[in-house]
Amino acid sequence: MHSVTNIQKYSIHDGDGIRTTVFFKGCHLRCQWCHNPETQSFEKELQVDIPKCTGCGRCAAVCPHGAISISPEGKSVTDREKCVICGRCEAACLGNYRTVVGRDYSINELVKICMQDLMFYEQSGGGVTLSGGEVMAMDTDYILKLVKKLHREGVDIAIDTCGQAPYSNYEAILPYVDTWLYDIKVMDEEKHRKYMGMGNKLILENLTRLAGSGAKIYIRIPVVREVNGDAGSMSEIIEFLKTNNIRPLQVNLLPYHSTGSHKYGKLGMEYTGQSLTAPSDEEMQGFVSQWNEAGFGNVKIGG
Amino acid sequence: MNSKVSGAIANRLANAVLQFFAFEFSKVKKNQEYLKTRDGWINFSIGLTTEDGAVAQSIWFQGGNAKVRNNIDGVDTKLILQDTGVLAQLASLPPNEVLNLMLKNKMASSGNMSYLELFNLLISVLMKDKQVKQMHAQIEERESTGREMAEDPDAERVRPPLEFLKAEKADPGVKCITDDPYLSTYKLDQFPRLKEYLDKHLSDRPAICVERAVILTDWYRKNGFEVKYDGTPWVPELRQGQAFKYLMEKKKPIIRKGDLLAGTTTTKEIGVPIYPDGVGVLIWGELLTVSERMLQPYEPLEDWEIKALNSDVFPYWVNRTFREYVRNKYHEPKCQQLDERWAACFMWKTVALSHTILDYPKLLRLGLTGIINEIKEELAKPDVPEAKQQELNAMILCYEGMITYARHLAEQARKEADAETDPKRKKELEVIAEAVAHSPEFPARNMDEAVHAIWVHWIGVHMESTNAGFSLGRMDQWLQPFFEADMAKLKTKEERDSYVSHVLELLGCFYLRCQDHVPLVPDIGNYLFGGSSSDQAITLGGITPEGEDAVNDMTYVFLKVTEMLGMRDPNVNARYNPQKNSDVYLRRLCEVNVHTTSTPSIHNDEAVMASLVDLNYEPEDLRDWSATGCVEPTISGKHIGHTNCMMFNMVAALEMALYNGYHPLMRWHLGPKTGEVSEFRTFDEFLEAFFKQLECLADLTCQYNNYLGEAHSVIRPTPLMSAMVDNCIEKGLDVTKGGSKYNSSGTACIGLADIVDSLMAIKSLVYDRKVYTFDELVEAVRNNFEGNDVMRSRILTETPRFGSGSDEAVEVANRVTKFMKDCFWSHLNFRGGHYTTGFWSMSNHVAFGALTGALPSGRLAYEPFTPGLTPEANASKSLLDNIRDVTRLEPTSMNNNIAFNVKVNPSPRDSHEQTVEHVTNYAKAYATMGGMQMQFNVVSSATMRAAMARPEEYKDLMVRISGYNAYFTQLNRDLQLELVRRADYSM
Repeated sequence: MHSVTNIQKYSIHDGDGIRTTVFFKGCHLRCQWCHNPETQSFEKELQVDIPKCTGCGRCAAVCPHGAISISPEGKSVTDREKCVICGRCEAACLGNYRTVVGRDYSINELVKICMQDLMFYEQSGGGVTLSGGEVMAMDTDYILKLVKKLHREGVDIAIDTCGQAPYSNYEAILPYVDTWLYDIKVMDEEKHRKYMGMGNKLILENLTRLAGSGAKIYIRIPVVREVNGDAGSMSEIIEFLKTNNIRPLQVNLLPYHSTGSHKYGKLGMEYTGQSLTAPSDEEMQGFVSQWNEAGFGNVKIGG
Repeated sequence: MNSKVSGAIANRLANAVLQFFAFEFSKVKKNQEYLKTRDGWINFSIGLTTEDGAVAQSIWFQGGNAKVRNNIDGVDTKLILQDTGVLAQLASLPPNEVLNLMLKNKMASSGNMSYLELFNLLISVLMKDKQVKQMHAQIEERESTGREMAEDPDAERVRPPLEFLKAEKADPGVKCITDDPYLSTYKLDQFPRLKEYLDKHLSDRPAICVERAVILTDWYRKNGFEVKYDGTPWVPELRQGQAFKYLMEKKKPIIRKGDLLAGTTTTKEIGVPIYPDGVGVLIWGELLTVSERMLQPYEPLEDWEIKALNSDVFPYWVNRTFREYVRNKYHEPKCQQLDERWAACFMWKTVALSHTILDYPKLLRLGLTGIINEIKEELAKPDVPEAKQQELNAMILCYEGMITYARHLAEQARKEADAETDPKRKKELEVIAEAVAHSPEFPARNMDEAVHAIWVHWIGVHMESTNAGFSLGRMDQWLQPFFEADMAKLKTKEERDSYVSHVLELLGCFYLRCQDHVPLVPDIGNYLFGGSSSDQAITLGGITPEGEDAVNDMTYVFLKVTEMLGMRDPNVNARYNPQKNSDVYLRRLCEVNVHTTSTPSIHNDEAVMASLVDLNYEPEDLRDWSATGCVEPTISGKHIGHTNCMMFNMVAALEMALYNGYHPLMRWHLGPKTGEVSEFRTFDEFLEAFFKQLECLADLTCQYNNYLGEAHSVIRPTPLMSAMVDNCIEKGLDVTKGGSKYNSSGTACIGLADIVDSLMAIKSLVYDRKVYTFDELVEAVRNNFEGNDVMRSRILTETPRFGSGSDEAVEVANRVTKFMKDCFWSHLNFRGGHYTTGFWSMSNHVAFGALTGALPSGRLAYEPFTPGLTPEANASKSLLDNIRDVTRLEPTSMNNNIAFNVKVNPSPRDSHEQTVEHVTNYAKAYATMGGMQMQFNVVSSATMRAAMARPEEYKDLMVRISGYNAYFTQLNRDLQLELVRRADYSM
């Protein structure tokens, strides 16, 4: 399993400098606010931009499984039970409103695309970020080969991870990775289970071991008022890091935003984070001070 | 009335309308006044006809009478309408839309254009009330449609406080401001004088100033133009020298209230000088209504000004413009007709031959007297030929005139100082009086004198010829010695800080002085060149003639002034030499772009110099290049490069290749018959046909440019300018005749990305994949893709585009640019220099786009082209693909530079430092990869939309068009929308 939903070039909020971010498909967590719902399932999926659909019917005409019809409102309707994600409707759509999410790349293909912007990485101190979904939950052999090859080409590599994967996966690629962008959400295990769909035991364990191995780590904390947007939750995270002697080079506090919510409809899913809210600017500043006072100097709002 | 109305009826109708005119101007005394000139009644005739000849009527104004004839034989000026339908529109449309009919080739004119303008004035004499009502309705419509543009039209503008970066000294040339080269603590608020004038600059309407035109016309009436009062022919250089001297003696010496610099170009706060030998007469038709027009309205003219222009100035110049000189001498040649059909080219030489950079170091070193001495020494050499003597004497006359004007300014300053009661201002006036009394007449000794020398000379330059693209050159290099010397005299930190403050304020005044004049824009210009000032480029940074890092204290001082004022002009261009200049400097350039939203433009020094290899400049000269006008490289003080002689629409040639030499909008079999598209067996055969059409257009435009070059040498030689350009004194030859050390003419070729995308669509779908026949594609293009949405969609999604990272598209782009460059290079201009080739567009990508049908690229009819050579907005989602493709273009094929627009949209989540860092990263990578020029718009589409809804709050929103800067709210709507639709790359 190593299909890719998107290769985002000129990405500047996923690590240092100008980067190319590769989003892999599939993640074990189900964060309610997930910005990239198309990366949750490990399977390929069909995405349809219904508001833009003109109802021309070209998709329905080519579907070999009769899964598409045109509604009286002039929009295409896809029966996802019947759909086998063959991709014929994608080719037929004039406006590219139908897309199959998830594409397999050979290592060479992926490396070639990443190398196109090498000059920009070099000038800006950037590189390639492997993200997702959860890149660490992908086929380890594939990821290992990929990072080895990029590393050999002199590309700076960052791994953006939620921590929910066997530690052996981390260990395997450790020598080739320059920076780990490691997400922490909340310390309270029950809360974690509620909002993320799973507990955080493995995540915290992995982080501790990774730090112990001397890896360069940036801690990234999505800040959601209902989940961890309070001084108590922050100090629990701070305490955890201190207790386990984890010294991140940077801490990024990422205020919640709902920009990914429109994607759920395209996938036939429902957004699960309606009730969530972002902390105010003042609250965010307050968290920065709290971290600073705890001895963490390099704390940024945003990526 | 529709076009089905019979020709006979239309002909009778045209007759009736003209009869009404004839009556009004024969029998009604107050109307007749407009036909009276200082030389008696003006006599002229205008003919009105249709292409099929069904309508043929003319009106003849003769001796204060007007008569209508049933034919158009022998008229001065003809208006040729496409059909009778256009006739009805003529009567009902507001004046700017009538102009639009002209641009759209619904009608064309033939014959003297000045008369057409006079006729327009006569129309407005009779119809003023109706016209004004129509104009007001247009303004209201613009306001209401503007409100629809914004997401929330009621949201007030929020201006977050600016943050400023600090930096350590990193540049060896920074000698004095080493603690804080970015001058991060200085703010506009510390300079109320600048703030107040900046506000006026943004709010006041310009006013037409008749001073220059009236004084000069007076002189010519008295002394003759073609021949002297005694009947002997004038030597044009001497005539211009004498007239200029007279002008400078008569010119009113003005010190603007509260200013630190003496002298003004006009008598108005913000003046529009009139150059009747250029295109000044084009405002004739708007004398009564120019204050009411929708775009860039001027202050209303006073009655005496209208009378001066209408009865004194304009009638004198009817046949003495560059354009009419060519028409009369060469019988309205085909190349001139082409220009006057608007769709294929715009010839700036009809306006000016100004784009150059004078040798200001020489002025600072020698003063006016020193320059006169240099000329006299040349005259004293043995065996000086007569023509040389004449030019040299003309130069002396000019410099004597300059001295008189400078003395008048000094006297005026002294007088005002004596009368001044406020001690602070009194002191300032005394400093001004002392400075201007010394410089420009004598070598400058300190910063105040140096800036005065340049400014006063600058006024003279603009009195001699048109304010279009004269550029200031490497001001940071030239003023640095004065800065260092002044600083060395100061002992305490307080003194030095206060001196830096003074220099910032002085240069701030200089910037604002440079905006005391704007170019005359007849309403048609608002649609061709929205919001352009005269583009007085200043060039900063780069390397010295010896090849060392040139960034110095003054570089940062100029950047601070640029940042504080955020003005469209002077147009600041920064040379960034990746090998020599520091990252600290580049970061500052990017920070100023973030703060001002669009300036300075950034040039990769190495790439620009590499592009100039064919011109064989001496290495020291090459390293001393600066930008002129928009972006074009000129060798400072040694070069007449008329780098903006023409705007050249390459897409017109593409259309001609698609239609076998026929241009659809102009309805003209203009080009060679290169074949029907079905006959081309290969893509290369079609490409050859396209190149033949390009060649045809290049031949015609170069021919016209050369005729106009001759016209300049006869009508307006420029001895003042000549004395400040290398080799003119030694040769005794005026710059208009090729006296300069280096000569060239620069073109701006428009539509590169649209052409490449079109060619790639043809190659891919017709020849490589054979999805459509060429006939099918052209048929769809002819019908603007109506009923062919599938084909258009396939073009947009399946064919490789410039800027998407396609090797093939880049290769085709390089073939086109190389052909264009070789083609222009093969022509020589009137001054004996080569033509150079640039790929930038001012605002003509919108204007020419509006005159061009649909294209194989999928672009719909009349939509704008992309600006400069910027890839089309949907070519790629990644800005980096755009950047990379542009850097892969061969610099030597672009020896008149390029304009690559990048619109970036800072993330509100990023700190100022991060935003600057991101922009710096792009700029640095672009330069390292060999890209030539890059210009930013650091503003989002949402902000532009808000500005359309609430223009009052966004007067200062500056945007980069293609090469030049403008204030967004002053632009025509098409141009505004083009900017909004540019790819918006979030950061």
